[in-house]
Amino acid sequence: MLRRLYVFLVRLHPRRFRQRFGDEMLWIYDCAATRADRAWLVADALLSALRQHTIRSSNERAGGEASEGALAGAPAFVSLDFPEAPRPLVLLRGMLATVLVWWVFSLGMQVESNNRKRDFGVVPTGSRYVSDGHLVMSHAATDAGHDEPARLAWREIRKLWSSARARVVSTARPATTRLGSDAKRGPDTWYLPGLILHQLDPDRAGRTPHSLSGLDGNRDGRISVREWGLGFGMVGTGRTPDVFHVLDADGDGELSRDEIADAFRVLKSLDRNGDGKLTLDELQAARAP
Amino acid sequence: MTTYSESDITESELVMAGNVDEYLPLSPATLHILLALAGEERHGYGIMQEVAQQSDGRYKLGPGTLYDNLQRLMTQGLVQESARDGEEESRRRYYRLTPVGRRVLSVELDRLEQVVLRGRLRLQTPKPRRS
Repeated sequence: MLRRLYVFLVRLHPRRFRQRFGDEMLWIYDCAATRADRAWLVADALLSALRQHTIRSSNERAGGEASEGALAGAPAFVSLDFPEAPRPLVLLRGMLATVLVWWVFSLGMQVESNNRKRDFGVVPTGSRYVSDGHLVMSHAATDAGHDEPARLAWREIRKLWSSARARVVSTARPATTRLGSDAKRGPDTWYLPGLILHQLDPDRAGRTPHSLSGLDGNRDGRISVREWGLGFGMVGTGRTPDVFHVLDADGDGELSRDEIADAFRVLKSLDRNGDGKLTLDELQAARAP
Repeated sequence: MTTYSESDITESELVMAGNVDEYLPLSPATLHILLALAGEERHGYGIMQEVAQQSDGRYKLGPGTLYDNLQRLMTQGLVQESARDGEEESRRRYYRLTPVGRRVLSVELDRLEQVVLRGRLRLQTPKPRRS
């Protein structure tokens, strides 16, 4: 990859220079031992190409009579000392070279940006929670046509991001225990907190660093309705956090340490058919008087 | 190794070189390249290695900068390509100083020597104290 880039940069040099020294430059590149050396050579070739198309081209046409100090491979600012103004064509080539460099730089930034977006994963439809200061999302719950959950999810992400309350990362963990995954698809199911049952399983605690306590944003040992809603993206949606009220045994609007510790047992007890998943019907049945 | 003396510099070369002072002061890159070629003719990679050795690795000369300077030095007649037959690697080209290049380097070293001497004297002479 680097060699191709180097060859490309060598080809950017003026034809006369390229024909004269191109093979030697490639030979020297091939002699470079380390990746750092090769990267340095790439940078050198880039500067050399820019220099050849700006400073050198006008000087060569002028017969190489410019002063030594202005022509010794020095940075471009030395060109200000040129006794003759650069020709318009030279300036044009310099501008094109600058645009090309800027375009390559922008392209690199764009690729990096896309990679970061890819890290976030496809916008989830239900499995996200705040844990250890991270907003964790699952890719598995992605379904085509769920534009509304996607929009809401990104709104929450932006909110977290702007308030610097959490760093956004992603996980490819499949939402095998996503609550409501067997329920009807639609806006009534997407926000149900997936992965909770899985995360709270004491038998798997050693392998799963995240837990329900991760929702405790202010680290006071209790989970408020807001912290719960923030964790599952339900803030501002007007939806009732069903699972929260199921876990809130004393009904004080907060999950205490004991209620958090008991969460797995409670949720598992609601799984009537024992399939490891909680459907919307099972949750609603648990809340029924 | 090719060696030259002052008498080897032809009149036409001196005319081409013009006033040697016009080439001075030499830039660091040019000075290192001429110094690297002062001892023997070298190929590009050899020049880079020699420059790194001269400066204890503090001055790294990239091939772009190297050949840019070599191109100019050849145009000015300070360096010329050395013809070698039967090279194992066709990509290798050797360069050597011309008599004019050697003279320019010599004058530059004399100038630098004066600079060093003056600098040392300045450092050794205590500054007069203002009362």
